[in-house]
Amino acid sequence: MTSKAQRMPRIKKTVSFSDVPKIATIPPNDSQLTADSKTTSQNSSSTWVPKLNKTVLTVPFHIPMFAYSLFEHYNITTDAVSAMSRSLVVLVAFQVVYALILMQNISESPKKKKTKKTVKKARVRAPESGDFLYVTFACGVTLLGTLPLFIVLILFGAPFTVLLKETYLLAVHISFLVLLPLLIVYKIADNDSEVQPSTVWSKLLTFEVADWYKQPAFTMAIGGVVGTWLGAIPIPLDWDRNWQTWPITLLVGAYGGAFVGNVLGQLASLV
Amino acid sequence: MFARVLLLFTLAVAQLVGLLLFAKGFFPGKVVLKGNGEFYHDSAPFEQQYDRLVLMVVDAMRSDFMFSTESRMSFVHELINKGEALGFTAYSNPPTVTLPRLKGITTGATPNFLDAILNIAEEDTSSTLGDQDSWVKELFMKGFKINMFGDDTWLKLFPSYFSKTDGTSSFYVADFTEVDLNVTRNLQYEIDHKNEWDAMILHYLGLDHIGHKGGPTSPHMAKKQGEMDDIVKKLYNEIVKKDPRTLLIVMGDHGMNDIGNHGGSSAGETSAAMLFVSQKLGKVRQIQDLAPLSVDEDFSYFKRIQQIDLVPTLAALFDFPIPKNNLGVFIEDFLPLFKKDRSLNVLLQNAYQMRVLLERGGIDLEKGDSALSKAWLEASTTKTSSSIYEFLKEAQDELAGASSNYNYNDIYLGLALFAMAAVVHLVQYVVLFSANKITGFVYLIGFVLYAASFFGSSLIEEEHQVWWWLAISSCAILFGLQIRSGTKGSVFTSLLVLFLARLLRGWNNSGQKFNLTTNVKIGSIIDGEKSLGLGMTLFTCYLFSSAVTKMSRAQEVVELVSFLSSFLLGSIAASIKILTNYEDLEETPKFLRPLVIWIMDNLDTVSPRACLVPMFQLFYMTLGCVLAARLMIHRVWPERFAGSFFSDLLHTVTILLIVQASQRNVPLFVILLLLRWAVGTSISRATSGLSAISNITVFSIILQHLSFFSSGSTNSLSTVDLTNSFNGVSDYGLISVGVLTYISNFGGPLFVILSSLVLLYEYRHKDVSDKFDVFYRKSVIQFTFYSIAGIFLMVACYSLRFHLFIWTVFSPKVLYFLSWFATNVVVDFVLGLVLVALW
Repeated sequence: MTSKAQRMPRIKKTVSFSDVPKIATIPPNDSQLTADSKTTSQNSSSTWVPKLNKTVLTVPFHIPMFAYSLFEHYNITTDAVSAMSRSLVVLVAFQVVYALILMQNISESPKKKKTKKTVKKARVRAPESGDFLYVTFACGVTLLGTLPLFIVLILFGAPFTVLLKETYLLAVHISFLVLLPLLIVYKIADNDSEVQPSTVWSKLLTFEVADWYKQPAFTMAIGGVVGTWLGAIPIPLDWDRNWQTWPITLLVGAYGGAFVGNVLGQLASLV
Repeated sequence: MFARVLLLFTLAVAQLVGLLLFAKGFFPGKVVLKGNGEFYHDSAPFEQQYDRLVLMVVDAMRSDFMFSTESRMSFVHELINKGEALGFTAYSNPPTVTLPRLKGITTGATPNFLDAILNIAEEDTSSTLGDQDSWVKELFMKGFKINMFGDDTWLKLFPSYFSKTDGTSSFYVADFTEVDLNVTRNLQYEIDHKNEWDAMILHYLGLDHIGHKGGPTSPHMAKKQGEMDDIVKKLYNEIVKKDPRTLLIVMGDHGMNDIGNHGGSSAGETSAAMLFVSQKLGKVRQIQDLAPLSVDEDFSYFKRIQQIDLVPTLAALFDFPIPKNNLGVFIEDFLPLFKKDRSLNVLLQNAYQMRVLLERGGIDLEKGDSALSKAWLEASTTKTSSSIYEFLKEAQDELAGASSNYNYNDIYLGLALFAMAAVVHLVQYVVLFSANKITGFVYLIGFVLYAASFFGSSLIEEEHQVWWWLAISSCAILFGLQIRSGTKGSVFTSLLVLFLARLLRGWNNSGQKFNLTTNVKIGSIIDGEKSLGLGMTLFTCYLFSSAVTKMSRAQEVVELVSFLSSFLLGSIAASIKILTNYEDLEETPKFLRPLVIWIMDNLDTVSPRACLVPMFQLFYMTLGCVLAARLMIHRVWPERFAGSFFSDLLHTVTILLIVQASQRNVPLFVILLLLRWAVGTSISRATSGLSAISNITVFSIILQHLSFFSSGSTNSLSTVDLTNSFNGVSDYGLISVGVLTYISNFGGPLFVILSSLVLLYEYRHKDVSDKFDVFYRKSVIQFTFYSIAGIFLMVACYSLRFHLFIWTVFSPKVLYFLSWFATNVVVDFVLGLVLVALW
């Protein structure tokens, strides 16, 4: 309980938006604690999962804006490949900044908390060099992740002999859109944490984390995947619109789904 | 349990009756005017231009075969350039199948959808034109002696008007040469005895057969076009050239699409060639481009007309009343043949005749201010050719749209019957899943999503995408369930399922929109590498025949007998495939030639084609014996052979499916076999009990459809594969040909249906407590699926009955759904029940 009491002021400092009072009155890790106890009772191996602080900062407002610019600025409907490759730099830049914001808003593992009390008090803090290093590392992993994602897209029915460039660019976009935030929040390797990230990942994949729907980064990924999946629907319709070409609808589905997923996750975590 | 299964059976029969009733009301016969055509307000309006007619119909003669630079019909081009021939691209009204097209060409009416089905059911007599007015009848009444050689569809349509006939059957699609020689052999005599006839109709089928077998770019195509060109040359030199009052017409009854099929409404299928040849045409020669023309993607060469425009044109040229139900418009280019004062009469007769049709359809031209009435007013007052043409075009559009009236009583009754049974199914379904609500609910969502796709015409055309989408979603769910269960190797099986499904999807083009683009698909690679295809076929044959023996772990003697019999069966199947390959001039590897010669020697025949019928009959007999023996063994030693009962049957029957499949699709069965293993393993890992049964059933439904579309089928009539419909049939029999056609088109689904029995009863051998209970559960899920789909489809067809695509998209889908539903009742339910009872 003591740790909780100590943490409350920190939250107040961090959140300077309209919904401050509500958040402040509800201890942020309360739900997590109960969730933990729940999982412990169900499952012998309790899984602690990193959570995001409840702040509007972590809502990816840049995503809908970026998706809009794909049409308005990059003219994706006339040349999908060039639009998707030219916009990539901007997407990566946006996502890196977003990743840094996320880094600052991850609640620490119980073990870490005790050791780093002094640092915590200083939040909001500027990103440290370690953060930059990890984000760079995560970007590398994200880039590697495009390959399996590309294969999965093909297995799920993307054309194989034609439009390979489009499909690969789609994989890159989706990867930076949802995989990077996942890597930031749930880490790929974390010596400090008492829980192995690999268990966290496998539990996430099978929805075995309690209150998974309160994890914005996770719901964002789910939303992105589901959006891509739903994005395939309009292609066969005979409306003859230029945006029905591969892979525009899937890309829009991914962006829309990721944003909606994140917002839903944020809202769920408030409840 | 018996009572419940009986209830299911009763419901199934009720639904089948309901569906048939619905179809009966939905595809009614058209209202046609009885009686003969007449001259209106004038006793002799026309001035006869010709005394002799030669009509040469070349089945599936697409416009580009005759007019483009790719065409080999150089004599035709010469005639056009000389000015003695007029070329047109004639729009052929869908369904682009021979019988409805011939009706259109002779009566001038637009076809009704039922004709397309009756085209396949050759023995049916309800398709005769009987009393219906046509130019054939009018010519006959005028005293013309009409001779008919070629496609016997004409004889069926007009049993009594021809004075001399020699019919050929249009269904032995593998025959390219003899069908045409049987027509041409009559020519010389007729040319030498011209006084014995006034009109001659020739209908050549070879070109269509080549299209069905090898597509428009088949190596046989050029040769056949040359052959047709030579016949035109002969007809021109020996008949037309000697008599200016002779008209020769060369035309296709429909075209073909890029894979050589027809029946649908794509540009290739509806663009047929039409050529008029006569000395007189030199006089009326319009400025026409020089043939051949460069290749046009829309198949538009020269002027575009409607095929039915032939009817009033013939009436005017040969001076007889325009047939009563005609919607055609006199072809403008022939007007200059008539004297100035007579030419207007021609158009007026056409207009008066159309007006009668319009009035019968309840349209009063004197009243109202529609575009049509205005056009009529304009035409009847000014009486200029342009205003009459205006009216004729308007009237044609109007009449072609309103073609049939539905029998609403049958539609409502059928829908009600089907829906009532569906409600009972739904109740059974809810009860079944009462302990497992989430699973049941998820399935229902999937069923409804699929059924809702019937409201979009493109989603029907591209139904394979819907199934693919449902399939990968299910695979993903299964993947999650497996990982959750935490068994080793689940990632492997899941990826394997996805990989195999992706292979299945990549095998053929399906769908109607992107079907014709030259997509690189695995199937087309196999088509290119004939010996690879043959090798894969032989491998598949022996794989399945050895799979039979592997399964029966029994005494050595039984094993030996089983091995020998199934090996024999596989060998017969393999030799049939080699013979077919050889016969199609596909480069059969040299080392296989001695086998072909050996078979021919033994059967005392000279051609590989002649071997096929006895070989097929031998195959069917052996298959029957092997199946009967397997069932008998099971009766004698039930315990010993129960473990492989279904898989033995499956593998044996698969050899039949292989024989009936086209070469490019044979390897699909290997994929399906692997898929059965992977899906079966995944499901038994992830779930058990009721959920396992329901998962197997749902995957069976999904894979049935997926495999159907993967073999290149679509919801269009043009992809019904007829190449294997006559295997081993020496005389046309509706039932045998129907069954063979069914097997060759539903090979994939049949395999999956039997596979689901293997998965249900062999993979979970120890779990099965009551075999009928398992079967009942499976059937309830399936019937619920088909009930939902059926209701949605019928409601969609009913509410969209005035939709533009009702005949080209929704109606064929009703027929396909009927065959799916019949498959479910007859094979999946009744046959499955019998097998389970025997087990």
